Amino acid sequence: MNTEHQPFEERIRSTLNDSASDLDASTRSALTRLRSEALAQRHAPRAWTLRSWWVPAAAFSLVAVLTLTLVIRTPTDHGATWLAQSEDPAWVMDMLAAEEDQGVESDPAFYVWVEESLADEGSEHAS
Amino acid sequence: MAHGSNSDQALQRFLIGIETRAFRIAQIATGQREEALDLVQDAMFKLVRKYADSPAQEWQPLFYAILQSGIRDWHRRQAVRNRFRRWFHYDDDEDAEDPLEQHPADASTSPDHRLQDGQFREHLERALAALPYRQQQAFLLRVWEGLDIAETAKAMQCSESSVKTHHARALEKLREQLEPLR
Repeated sequence: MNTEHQPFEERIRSTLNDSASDLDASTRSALTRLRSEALAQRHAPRAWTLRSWWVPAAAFSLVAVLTLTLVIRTPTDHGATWLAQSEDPAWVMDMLAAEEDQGVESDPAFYVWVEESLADEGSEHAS
Repeated sequence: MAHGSNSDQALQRFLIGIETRAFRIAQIATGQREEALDLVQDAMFKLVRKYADSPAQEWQPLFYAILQSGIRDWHRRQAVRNRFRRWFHYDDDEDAEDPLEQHPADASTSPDHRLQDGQFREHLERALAALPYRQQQAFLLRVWEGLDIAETAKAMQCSESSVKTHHARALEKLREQLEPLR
């Protein structure tokens, strides 16, 4: 530090020290209260730590349970509906017929076979 | 627990020793008592919560790093508020926060302070309040708190050369304004 400025800075330091010493009673009281509160919280970090762990843990558990419930319940309901319907013979026959229809309609050999069958039946009736 | 008790006492002694100066530094920076108390409270709480177990010789620079961070945030909020005021042409002289007008030094004026020392003190506080805040804080941390250049740079989150520059400019301005009173 420049020695040229030292007396000036020393005067400023001394003046500022005086201003800190002359603080009013209300401000001193407020500072004492703040200090006490700050020091008191040092012996209460355990409760804060527990709370800081429990809150996210509980939230995570809740989300996990809800997610599992949604994932598991949806296929089960679908399966139960399918099983219930599969016990109805009419529904089963409709399903099979629909599958057969789709397969037959897409096969050109089927139409050839129909024409040949009709032609054979016609010739048998003629004879 | 003897160790914890000793540590508590050391921390309490540290806070007792620093709190009035910290309050004055925050008050000079903000010009407002309540804001200064809030900033000191925040610094005390954070120091105790996060750094109580740090070595005692680190408490002072850590405390002032926290306090400086709070003061910086306060100045940013003030800048945003002032910008909004300009945008909306909000021109309310009663609410204008002129640090020279609202400075707490005014409240301490009494017959005793009309002596030479009192005049110097009043002018010093006005001159400090009128400094750009980084010059003001660099000067206070270096000259009053006795932090070295590296500690001041760390507390203010700037380079050491910036600290030197801020300190030198602050000193120059203060000399200009206060030399006639010496």
